[in-house]
Amino acid sequence: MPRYRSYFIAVLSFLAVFVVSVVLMNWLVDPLDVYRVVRKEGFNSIKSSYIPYARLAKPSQIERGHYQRLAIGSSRMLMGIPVANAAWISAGGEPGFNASIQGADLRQIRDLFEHAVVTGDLKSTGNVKSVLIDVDLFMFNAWVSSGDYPYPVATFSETESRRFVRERDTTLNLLFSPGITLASIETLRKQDLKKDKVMIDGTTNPAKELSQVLEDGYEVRFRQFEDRMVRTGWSPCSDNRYDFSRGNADKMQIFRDILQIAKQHNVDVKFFISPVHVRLLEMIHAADLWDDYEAMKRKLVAEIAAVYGQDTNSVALWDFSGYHHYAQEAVPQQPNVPMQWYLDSSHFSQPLGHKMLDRMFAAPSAEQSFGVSLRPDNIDAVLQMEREQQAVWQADNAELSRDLHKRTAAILQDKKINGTMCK
Amino acid sequence: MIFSSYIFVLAFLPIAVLGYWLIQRWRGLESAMVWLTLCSLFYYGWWNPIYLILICSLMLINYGIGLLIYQRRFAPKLLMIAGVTFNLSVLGYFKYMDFFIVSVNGVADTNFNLMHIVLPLGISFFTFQKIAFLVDSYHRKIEHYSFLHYCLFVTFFPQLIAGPIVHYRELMPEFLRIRQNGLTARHLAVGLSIFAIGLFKKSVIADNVSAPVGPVFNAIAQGVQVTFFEAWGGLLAYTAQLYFDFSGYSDMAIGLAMLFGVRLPLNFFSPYKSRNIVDFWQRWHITLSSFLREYLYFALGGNRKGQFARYRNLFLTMLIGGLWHGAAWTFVFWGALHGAFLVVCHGWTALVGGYKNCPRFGVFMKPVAYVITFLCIAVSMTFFRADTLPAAMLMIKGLCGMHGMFIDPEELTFYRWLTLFGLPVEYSPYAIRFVDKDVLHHLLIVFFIIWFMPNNAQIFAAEHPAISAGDLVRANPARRIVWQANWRWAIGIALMLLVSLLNLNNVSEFLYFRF
Repeated sequence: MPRYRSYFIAVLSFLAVFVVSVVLMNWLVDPLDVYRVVRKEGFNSIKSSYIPYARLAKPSQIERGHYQRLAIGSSRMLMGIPVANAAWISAGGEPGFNASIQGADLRQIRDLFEHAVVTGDLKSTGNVKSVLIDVDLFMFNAWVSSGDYPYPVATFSETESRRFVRERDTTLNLLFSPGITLASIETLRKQDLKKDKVMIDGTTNPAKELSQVLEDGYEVRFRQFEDRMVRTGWSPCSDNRYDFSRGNADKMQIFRDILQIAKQHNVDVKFFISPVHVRLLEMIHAADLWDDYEAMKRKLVAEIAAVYGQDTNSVALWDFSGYHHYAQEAVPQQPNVPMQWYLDSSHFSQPLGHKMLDRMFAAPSAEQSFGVSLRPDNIDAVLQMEREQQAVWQADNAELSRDLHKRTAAILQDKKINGTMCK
Repeated sequence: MIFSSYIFVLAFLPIAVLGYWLIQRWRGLESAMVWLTLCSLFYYGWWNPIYLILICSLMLINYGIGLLIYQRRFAPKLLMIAGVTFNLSVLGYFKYMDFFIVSVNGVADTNFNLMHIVLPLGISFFTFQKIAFLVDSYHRKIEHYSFLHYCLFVTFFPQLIAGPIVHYRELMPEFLRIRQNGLTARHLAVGLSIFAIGLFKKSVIADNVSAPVGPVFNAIAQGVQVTFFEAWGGLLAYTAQLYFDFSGYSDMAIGLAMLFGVRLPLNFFSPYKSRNIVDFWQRWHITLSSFLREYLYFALGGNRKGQFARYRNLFLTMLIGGLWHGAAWTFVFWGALHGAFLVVCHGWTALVGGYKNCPRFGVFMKPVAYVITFLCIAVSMTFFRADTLPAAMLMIKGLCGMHGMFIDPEELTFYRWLTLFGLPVEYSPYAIRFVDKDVLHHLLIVFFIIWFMPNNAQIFAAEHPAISAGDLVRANPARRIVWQANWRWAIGIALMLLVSLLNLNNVSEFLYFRF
């Protein structure tokens, strides 16, 4: 039956051709900027489908990049921290990479950090030298669950065979998976400057975001962000609102792990608490989370002291939060009126990111009154000062403060009615 | 090693098929059957080698009992009853012991420890096959007796884990036919094509349509009150997932068997196109329905002792059929629900005589019958999927709109459209807690495929790839889409294989493996 035989051979031959074509396309188009074989304008230079796959891309980029400096954190770091900061380059060397991922939790930050150190050790060029880590109140809430990193990452306990499996799975994901094949096709289709969201150093290109924010108007954007944040991440119930540990989940232990890795592998780490806008601070206050916010800062300082003692050269915790003049920048009520320092109440602009980096890495031009390195000997004073600044701001902005408290309470109440379970 | 995995598709299957074909050509069919049995045992042992001991022991014991029954040397009926009891006891121990302990603890307020027994893969299926073999031996329905054939009958990997439930008298003649007709390229061409379509259904459609299923059913398990659209989104996604999962698996089993020159019985024939619940059970898990009818319903007395006894037997058969699917009260309830549906359906037909007797009435009633049947099937799936009965009841309330009808504020057109019908719809950001907006579009596509596309038995009707598919296919022939060994189909099947292979990076288990 030659008809059936030809058919059978044709199916297998077509399949072989299709498979090779897909792998080649994904390798050349390189939608996640991992292989960097070709980077041609109008072909694949704009990685328009990168963001949804950032969690898959970043470990591979870290592994292949021989980076001396890494920024690991959430979207604030991704959008606001420019890797090409002179003070940081001078302290940590070149090249640097922004390995942050949107919505990263502490566990994912730890996993990426461990991955960077392990894969750095495997490379002849050696380890990463300077790491910047962004921490916030919600990363330490044990009621917010966090699992393993969703894609294969290197660990200290990795054996040769596990490494083989990790590398095989990563290659398979990058070259032969449905998502990446679609991402390649999208990348080929969308070589439009408007779609240029990702910079080669891993930082998100803020241009598109900024134009969108301007179009919407900052007030709209601030409100949308604040409402979504309260609705999705905050509990309306006092019994499951905030704890550092719960059952097997101990968020401070993850922080301790990061410190231990950094100490054992001589990596300079600077943690920072972001300069969020006063509106968000006020909502934290409205949700009865202010004590937890202070407790978090105290605990972080204590943990660092427990691991590093008096050594403040290799590790530091910088606090840029508070009621300073940047955080009090007025939010325009009309569209198309720009803000200098913020995209919304949590995300800051790159110029402010430069100022933070200048301060942390002691640039001569750094503004000394912006940000403070928290230590056991100054934590009480810093927190006291913040409380006083808060009282002054609330008195000066009574109407706005009332509105923020009212909105927070309304969303939490609505959430309670609509099925968010208390303990 | 599930069918939809790289190790199976790219390593195990090519080696098994190539070895079988080469050995069959050079050393004959019996040697090829030895190879196939060894491959099948390897396939089963890949999951957990320790359970090879179980399947081999059961094989030996059942073959011995069957042989003694067949030879009529010692009390064949007693042996048959003992054999069936033994098999049911093994199944009971592995599958129902913990369920029994939990139920006793609940009823008698005792505190017996659970045994946490791991359920051996496919035990429900191969236990039923062995029972059928013993009963068939007793009724002298088995003509040839060979240990090798018996081993292959039990372990033949395309049907080992999740059916179809095959009879010895069906499977062995298929192998013996190869002796006369030989293996041909037709087996490879048809087998590969059916397998490719099955793999596509499973890895591309079933695994992708299931996105809201987990979130919705996990939410009700935690006591969250799901809203109307969340409940329907989750439930319809599950009905579609189960459909394509089981349909895909059944196609793959038929395609795989065909690669070895063997036809398996048809197990799935567009069940959501059923016009009533009786029709449904003639299309859904056909071999299980046949088994239950032949070995349980008839054993209970069938319809020989009047209408009441008939309905009682139907109900009991479905109750046990429900329990067969899983050791939980939700499955028992699901079985009871289907038993009740069947009783109502038979009662209605007896009372009214069906709409065929009244053509004018039928014009209106026919579409209504299809819709009612589908809704009954879909709603009963709540109990099939929910972890507990209270969780299932929470879902039912959601389906009835008792937890509100909320819609995403961005869906303005949909909102206006619904309010036209006077539905009490409200805007709320909670409308898309568990069910994404894209789910509706995905469901429209998959239900279009379910209701308006022909199935594999119809598409491949000319090649007769399955046993006992004749009547169903003749009654429902495919009109436009008919498989032919030509270039267009070759490219289409290769593309389906490509997309399926890509999607294997994101696999989940077959749902019917757990039963």
